[in-house]
Amino acid sequence: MSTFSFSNDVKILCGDHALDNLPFELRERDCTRPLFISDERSYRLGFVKEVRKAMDNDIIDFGATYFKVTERTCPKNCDDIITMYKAHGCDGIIALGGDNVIQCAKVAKLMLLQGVGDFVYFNHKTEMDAENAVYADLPLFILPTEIPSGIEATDRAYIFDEKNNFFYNFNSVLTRASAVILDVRLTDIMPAKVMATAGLGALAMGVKGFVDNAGNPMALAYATGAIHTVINELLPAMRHNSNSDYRISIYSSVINAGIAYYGIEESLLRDMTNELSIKTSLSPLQILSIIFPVYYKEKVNKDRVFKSVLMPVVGEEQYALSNAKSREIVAIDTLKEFWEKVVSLAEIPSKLREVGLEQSDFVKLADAVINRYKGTDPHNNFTTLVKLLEEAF
Amino acid sequence: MKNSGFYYEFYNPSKCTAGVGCLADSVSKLPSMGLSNAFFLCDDVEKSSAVDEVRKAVNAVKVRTGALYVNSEKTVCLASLREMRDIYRVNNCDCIIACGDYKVVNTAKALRMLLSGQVARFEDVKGINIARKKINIPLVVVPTSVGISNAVTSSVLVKDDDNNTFECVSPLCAPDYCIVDPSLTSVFDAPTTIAGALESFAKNVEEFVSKQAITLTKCMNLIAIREIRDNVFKVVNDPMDVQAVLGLQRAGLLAGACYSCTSAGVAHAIAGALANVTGSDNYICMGIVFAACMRYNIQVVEKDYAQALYYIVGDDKYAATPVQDRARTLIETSEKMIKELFEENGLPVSLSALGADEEMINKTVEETMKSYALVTNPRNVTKEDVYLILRSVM
Repeated sequence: MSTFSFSNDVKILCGDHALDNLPFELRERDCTRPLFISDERSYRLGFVKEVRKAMDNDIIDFGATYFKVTERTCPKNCDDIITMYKAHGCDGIIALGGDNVIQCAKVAKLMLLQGVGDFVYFNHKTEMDAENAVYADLPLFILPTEIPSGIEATDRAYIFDEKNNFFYNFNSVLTRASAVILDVRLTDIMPAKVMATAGLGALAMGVKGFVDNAGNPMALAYATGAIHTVINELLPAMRHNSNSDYRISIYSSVINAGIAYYGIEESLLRDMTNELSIKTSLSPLQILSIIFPVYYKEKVNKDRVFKSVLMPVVGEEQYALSNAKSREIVAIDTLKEFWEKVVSLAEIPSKLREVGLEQSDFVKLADAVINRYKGTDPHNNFTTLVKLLEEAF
Repeated sequence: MKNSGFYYEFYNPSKCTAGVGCLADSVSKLPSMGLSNAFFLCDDVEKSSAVDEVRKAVNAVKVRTGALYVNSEKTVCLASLREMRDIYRVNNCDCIIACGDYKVVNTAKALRMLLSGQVARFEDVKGINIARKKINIPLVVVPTSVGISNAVTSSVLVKDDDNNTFECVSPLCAPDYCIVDPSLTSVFDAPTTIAGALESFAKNVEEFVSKQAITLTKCMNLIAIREIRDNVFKVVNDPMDVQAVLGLQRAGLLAGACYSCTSAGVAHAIAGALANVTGSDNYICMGIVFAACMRYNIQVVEKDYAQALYYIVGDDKYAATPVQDRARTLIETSEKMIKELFEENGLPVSLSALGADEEMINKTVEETMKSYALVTNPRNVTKEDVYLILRSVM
């Protein structure tokens, strides 16, 4: 049994009326002038109004509002947020929206805590020295709308600087949220396609988190829970997409799977997903739902831990009855069967060629991924990567 | 499943590091948390080499011992807490480091709440989430016992000036950092090991069937139950087996992480009350009533018990047990395991062996009904139910 370490003090409030607890959570952290940030889409869909309503009967008011976060994260958003924050003497941030808003809020928090006045400061530097600011807290409340991405309750944040073609990958406790509030009112009925992508993305992150966290019982529990939920509830959630319990359950599994997945120190899969996401403008969850079956097919024969994945996939009964020597094979077959069923029912892309990628992009892509990857696994090399992309094509 | 108004909160504020020999590396992070002058709380400086080792490791990273306080009260009293608070302030300490068994951890958590919430009278923060953070007082705990399920929970037990025990629940109680290094674990006698394992086992089972359990906490509990199964007898037979001790401690950490979401159930409520009334150790009371409480709950959690059986008996026996018998088998297996451990070590397995009489039972019933743990029990518990459970183990 090796040493494990686990830290995730993000409070998760999830389900019906979760949003009503926002004023309480703000008060708990002495936050009286929060900066409320969001984007045009959340405003248009009425989510901003829902948050205002939840705050209506409370003495806390917003210090300022900023609803101009762009669809794709960019350094300017972070700069605008911190300028606004300082100009209005705010003492916390409420971030409402999709991945774009959440990533910017997390990086803005990091900048404020580190005293960084302008994103230019980073200048291709992605590793932050978080050690000296751990206790200088800045309350950050994340309110995901529609589909979460899994990054909400983690220490990761990504910003793509399109102008300089540089991908900033922050991994710091200073990006961590105080609370993630997942409320039914901030979600909407989604087509089966969208639910399928979220569920398969969570499953991919869960399986990867499970395999790579075998020695960490806490992270393992997050991954196990996510796998179990997706396997049991994704198909009903796609069939009955007006049922908010199913919807919240799948979304919450995305957040939990994210905690296990983004907690992994180095991951070629994550680097590749991010690179493909930039290239195709698809979300990381969409990319994962395409490439993961190829990825785990490649990994299964090398990783005996895979046999344990069978437990959350099929449950105790079938696990106990299965042949102990071939559990990894049964796990892979069962996952494959489930994956194909979801893909075919939802009619979502299952190949990279379907999302506009060309084979001629592979060398450049693989090169970029390998340059970013800091892990030491010798199997994770350029050749393996190109092979993997070809298979996923 | 319909639109049922489903809602949950999950919050585990403590960072944990657990591993054989992890102390030195873990304490190297303390200065970055702003620690420099520690109020060092421990149980027995003379007998335990762990305290010495931890102090040395902490001093090596330039965190001074501003004050050293020895406390081994089973449940800390207000007078001791007030004294500790004054010593903390007089010595300008800026953090609390606690090294010892579950009692020291409980005391340290209570002291942190008192200081961090600048609580003038502890009685004012009785109950759930009353105290609020005013100043930051980092708390690091280094548990040295096998049973550490209280190490990362957000609740503490305190004795008031009239000697009544009360509970406070607040995130202020949860430590910032919990360092679990089994090589620091004191070599205990078998009963102490059993106490730790049983507390952890009972907590995990009760959390697993709690009204407030969610998929995440259930997964944590099942992983923990498997760790206990794999390691409990190993530790009883060889208390020096640090890997097995670590397994039990990991199970305790998992139980602790779930507690703020799930709380416990009727067995914890009764065992706590019985321990207060009879003056016996909590784990002995738990050992006596636990199976009876499981029997009481079976009608509403049969499916959950059946599932948990796998993690106790493993592949073959689980597959061979008919579905309809699995929940009952879990109870019987747990009962057998507890009885074996208790009888082999000369511990009482019934209330009469404990010396409890009718009056004590009635008093225990009254005490039990005051417990918060009843709120999350899967069955709504009445006074009569508690009485019948206690009579069944007479």
